[in-house]
Amino acid sequence: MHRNIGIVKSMRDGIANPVPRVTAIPVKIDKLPRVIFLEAVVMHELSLLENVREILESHAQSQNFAKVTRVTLEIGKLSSVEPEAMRFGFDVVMKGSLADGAELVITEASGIGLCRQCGRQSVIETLYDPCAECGCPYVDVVQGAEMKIKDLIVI
Amino acid sequence: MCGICGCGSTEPKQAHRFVLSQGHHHQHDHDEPDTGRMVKIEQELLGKNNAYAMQNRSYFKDHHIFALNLVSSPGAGKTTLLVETIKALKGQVPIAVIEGDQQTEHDADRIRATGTPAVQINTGRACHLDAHGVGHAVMELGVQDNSLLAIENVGNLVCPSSFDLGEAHKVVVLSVTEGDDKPLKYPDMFHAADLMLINKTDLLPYVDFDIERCSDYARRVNPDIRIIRLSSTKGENFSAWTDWLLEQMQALV
Repeated sequence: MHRNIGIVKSMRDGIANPVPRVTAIPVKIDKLPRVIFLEAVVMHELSLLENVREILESHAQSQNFAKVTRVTLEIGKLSSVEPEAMRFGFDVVMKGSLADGAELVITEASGIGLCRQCGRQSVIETLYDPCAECGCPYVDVVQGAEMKIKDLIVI
Repeated sequence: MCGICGCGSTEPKQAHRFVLSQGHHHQHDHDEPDTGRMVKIEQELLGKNNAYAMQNRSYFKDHHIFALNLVSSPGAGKTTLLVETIKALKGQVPIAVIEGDQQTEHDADRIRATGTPAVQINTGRACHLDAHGVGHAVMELGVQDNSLLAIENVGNLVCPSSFDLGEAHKVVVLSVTEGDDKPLKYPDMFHAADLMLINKTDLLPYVDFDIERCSDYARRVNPDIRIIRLSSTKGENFSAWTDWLLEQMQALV
């Protein structure tokens, strides 16, 4: 499957036609995520991963460990975090730290909304999903915004 | 390394005995692999930022500073909005501005040209302001008591939504040239904001932007969001925004 991701390349045809041309290059979709994440998504998740690393380091002395072999994060479905981008950035950010080479486990907490009209709770996939019980569009988030480190396996 | 089984032993090969029926036998001991132990952490990823944000918030409260975190995509008109706000409120309330951009002092220069103190934070690689940097900027600015502090975040509708700076409200600016479905495309930001300013309304005749549809989308993401439509450059309905500011500041005292 190919999809046009709109990579813009300017080309000059020499003096006869000096106008830059915009060319969209089709890219194979299974090779795509890394490129896209690097440029567009990972920056946000990189900051969060840097926080993960700092939190690990802050616990190393008090909890008496020198190496982390597994990190479990809880990421809510309605948080602004993309688990794939976290997985992609994890190894890079942990390199040279206590968690160099550690396994990353992400548990996703589902989104739950409380309806303003009928007062019932239902599962929501996005922040703008209506109440699944009565269809009312106004729903408050009660679960799914989490971004937490749950636990570690340490040596 | 043991060349036969790759077990890491430095002993000569002769030290190994291999008995077919028993498999591979070593005279040296393998260390028992340490399977590790579990440490419960249960800590927010943004805990550190949130702690700085709380510090800023209590500083603002003690000094009656009304802090706003202005967010939008690049080019929605945040800086022009601020310049016009400064002109409109001149003599009524002291204003200070923190400008966030990845590079350049351009925006802070535009604010300073109005005679208002401004500090520029260049975030470099980062795509958002954080509470720690804002705390330092507040000290550097020496924000007066009873001021309006406008923090113009990096133009980005994604990342700044997660980073609390200690502000009273996030204000999202959306211009009519951007498309009325932005609240659904970037729901986190519209969920985090308390007020949406629909800017550049003077351009409505030239663009396909439905204000009602945009407002409906924003309310689906955030039922409590307040919405003000205005044009900073032409002044249309601009007083609705400055009235809101003054009313909020009045409530602080």
